[in-house]
Amino acid sequence: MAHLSKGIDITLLQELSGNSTEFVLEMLRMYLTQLPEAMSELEENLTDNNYKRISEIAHRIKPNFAYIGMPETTELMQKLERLGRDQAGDPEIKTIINNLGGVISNTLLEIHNVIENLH
Amino acid sequence: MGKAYITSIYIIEDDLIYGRILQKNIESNGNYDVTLFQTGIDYLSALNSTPDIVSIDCNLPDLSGLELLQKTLEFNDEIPCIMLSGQEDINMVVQCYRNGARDYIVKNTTAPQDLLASILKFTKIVTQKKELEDLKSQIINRVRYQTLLGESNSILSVIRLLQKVEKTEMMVLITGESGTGKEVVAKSIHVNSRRYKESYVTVNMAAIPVDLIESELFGHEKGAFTGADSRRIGKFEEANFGSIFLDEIGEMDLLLQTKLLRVLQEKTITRVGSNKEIKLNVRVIAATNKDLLKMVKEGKFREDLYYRLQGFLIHLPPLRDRGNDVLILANHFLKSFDLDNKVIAFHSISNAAIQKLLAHNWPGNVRELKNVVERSTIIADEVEIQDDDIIIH
Repeated sequence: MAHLSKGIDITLLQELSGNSTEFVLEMLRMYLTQLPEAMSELEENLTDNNYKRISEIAHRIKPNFAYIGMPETTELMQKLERLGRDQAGDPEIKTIINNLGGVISNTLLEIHNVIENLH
Repeated sequence: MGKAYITSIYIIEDDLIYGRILQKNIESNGNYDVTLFQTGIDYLSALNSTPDIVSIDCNLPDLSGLELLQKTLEFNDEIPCIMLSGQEDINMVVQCYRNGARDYIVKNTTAPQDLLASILKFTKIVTQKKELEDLKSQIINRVRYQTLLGESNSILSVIRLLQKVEKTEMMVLITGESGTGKEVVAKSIHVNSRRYKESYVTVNMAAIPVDLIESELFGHEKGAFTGADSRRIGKFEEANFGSIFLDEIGEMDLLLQTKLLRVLQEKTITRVGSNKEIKLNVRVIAATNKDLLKMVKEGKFREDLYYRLQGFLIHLPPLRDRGNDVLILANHFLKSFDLDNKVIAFHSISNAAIQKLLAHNWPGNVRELKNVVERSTIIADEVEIQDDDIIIH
């Protein structure tokens, strides 16, 4: 089992790719670019009070966390999606996005570590 | 062992990470060609290449999944569409199925496997359809090709090729020894094409004097040359909207080859003595018993024209390679001859005569066989043709 770091688990990615290290590396590098982009998008739309777009972004990225062993973040995104759609302006939206920033920063560090270990 | 079919899958998923996971999981589990689209617009612009199975995310940034489902089924209602959604919304599920979706998958961690299982299920149906289409294309419609007699593998292969090319507008080059039936094949291509109601014009390039051939092919204006006392349309114009058969194409001189190449490339002709270009819509079928490639190497045939003519090549087998087709053809010629000559009792062929026909190698091919059979009916004293009545030179 590939519990290579505390926070992330790439077992599912390995299983889905038939244990292709090449694919896992490709995906992890994709996470390194996509997660910061999604985070910036969320922050920008929070500034613009565009809650509909926040909901759409949360909807789009929520499954991705599950594939690196972060189901609790998937649930958090599910909540953000619902709040953005049904309760525009709810202060919890801002709290979730701020917390997500920290989670993503840690996740990126962990992904870097996993990539180094896989090489 | 059955033929391995590649199943083409289109995935429309705006999230690159998730899309790649779905793509990789499918590609790792079978003979699949998976294309990922991040927007509905990109997908729709590629729909013409007809995917076998489509997986559509319900929530896309540009078009809704339901819109894509509808547009896909409008394009081809046989494409199985699998909908993927981030939520188990019963209304959405019902709407998807009502609009023709074949499956609905919730995007959770098992979604890649669920999608794969769904794809495997539809792959069976898609593969069966492809097998059926392959079988249909192998079935020979003998009614449409009744002029091409024979049951040998070599002639059946030719008919299969004809079935493939008949619905296209491709230029066809028919090669084969003299007497193998190139003109019969050319005519059957026209008769079985979409142009069958239009003109079919034959030009034997070897039979027209060199100084007349340009006018014969492209026509001339009044006064274009001595003796041109009226305007005349050429064979290409005569064949407009139909087909032209250029027999013995290897006999053309180099200057005319240049002019023919221009016609083939630009699809226009200019009558001799005129500057006006006339647009053409003609399907060209050419034939030769010459080795054109050898002629190219010898500088007797233009290389560019050679490659232009090779749109679709059909090589006719010599009669000596067609086994018992000799007997099928001999009986056909015998019957036709008897019917044309209104004989009282139809001729038949004795076993000894059959052996003689089968033993010959027929350098003059089908044309030679026809002459030999017809001559034998005149020579024969009885209704049964004997081996002595078969005179082969």
